[in-house]
Amino acid sequence: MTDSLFDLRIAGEIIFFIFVGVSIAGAVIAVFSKRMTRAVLGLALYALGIAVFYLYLGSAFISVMQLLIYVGAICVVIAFAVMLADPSKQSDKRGVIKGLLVLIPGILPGLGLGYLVIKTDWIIVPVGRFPPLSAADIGRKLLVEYCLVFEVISLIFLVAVIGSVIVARMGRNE
Amino acid sequence: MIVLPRLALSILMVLGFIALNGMMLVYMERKVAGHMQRRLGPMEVGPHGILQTLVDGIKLIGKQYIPPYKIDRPLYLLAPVICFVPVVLAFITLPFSEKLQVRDLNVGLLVIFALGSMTVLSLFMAGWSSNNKYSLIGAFRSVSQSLAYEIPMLLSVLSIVLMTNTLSLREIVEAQSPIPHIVFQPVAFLIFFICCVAETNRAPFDLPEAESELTAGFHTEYSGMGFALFFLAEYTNIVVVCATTTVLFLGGWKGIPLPFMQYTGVVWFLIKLYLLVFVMMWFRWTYPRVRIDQLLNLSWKVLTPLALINLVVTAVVLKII
Repeated sequence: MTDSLFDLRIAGEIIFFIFVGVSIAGAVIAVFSKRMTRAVLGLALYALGIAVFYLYLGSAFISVMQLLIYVGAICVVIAFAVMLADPSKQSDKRGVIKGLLVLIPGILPGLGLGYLVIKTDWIIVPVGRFPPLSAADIGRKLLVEYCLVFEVISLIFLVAVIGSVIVARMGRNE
Repeated sequence: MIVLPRLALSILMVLGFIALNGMMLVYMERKVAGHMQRRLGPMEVGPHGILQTLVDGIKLIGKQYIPPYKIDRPLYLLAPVICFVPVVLAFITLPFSEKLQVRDLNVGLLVIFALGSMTVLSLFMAGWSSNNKYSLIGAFRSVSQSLAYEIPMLLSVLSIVLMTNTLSLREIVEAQSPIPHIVFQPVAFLIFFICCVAETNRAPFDLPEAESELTAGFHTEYSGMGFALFFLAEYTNIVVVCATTTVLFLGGWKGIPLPFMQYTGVVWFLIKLYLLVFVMMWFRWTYPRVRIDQLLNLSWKVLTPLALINLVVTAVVLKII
């Protein structure tokens, strides 16, 4: 498979680091942009970068699902919400206490995840050692092995749907 | 096979096909429109006006590029490019014949939908960055439309995936060896094709660019090559969705055997493909545009439940057999 003109492995490395840059840039845009629209598109860029990392880890299925769900659905839904809520309006300044309150839901999951990362005994496997999971394997794992977790997650979505319906109804009465 | 020459050849062939196809489809659309309205369509440049689009293309390249005042410049410039790139990438996995395919991905079907769903973000970018009311309304409509139609589209495709147990486009074509899927899944075919028309923003679902109410919708403020890229992306997208329909329901390259069938299967593929394209144009010039509430009602209240029922019935029947 090697080509004398051009070493594909080096090209792969270069592309990998390009996408590291892309996803970091996307995240920075998403967090720091003053305009909501740009923030949404930054989020899309970031999701695209993550999709490429999944591809590097040999899981094409998850990579494509990442694109389909995060770029194609979630970002589009957020864009929809932004357009409903007057995109040109700049966000107003928050008070200091409110700003500090916002930090709590931001930091707590971060700390929890960080704790888990440190606590877990990671088994480091070289990339490409195992055959990548196929879509059928993932389906079997989700609906047989981890069926309960899967259903609980879908329950959260149900709650979210009911919540949004209630919010929309209340808005209509005003 | 050596990777790089094959890659270069594939890129050349795909881009050549897209350019030629874009030109021919614009010509075909004008001719179909003309004949449906008892006119002749373009007749002046070349025999039967066949060079008309080429001349129009040269005109568009030569046109001055005029960005409006107070736009969101980076987004405005990027939008046509981002509209065009995913459409081109979808050609990676489209099987034109048994051997004429850039790469057979085992998640090929999903790749096409993932790339297709990215187009709407570019329309949103274009509409918002143009700083124009018409553009913004167009973007707004295109987002709600694509949200509504992606769901029945994926649900109708799921029944095919259930039948074939694969996401690879080549294997899906191989699975319909004697009888194409349209025979077993006529409902899924109808739902899928209606959603395709909606996804490509074509009449009667062309609300994002409804010219009688929104000037040109999301691309109102684009001139010259920016406009041309949107146009080319739209026509290429038509080919992508029609090709996907051909692969999923009409048996892809299968047909009466020809010599060197592994390559010449492309003839049958293109015949089926352009037949579907013709049907889309036929729709455009015979149906009036729907209203936004009719459009959303059709998707949420008719197509989505129908696709769900179809999926359940397919699953039950497959279990019994």
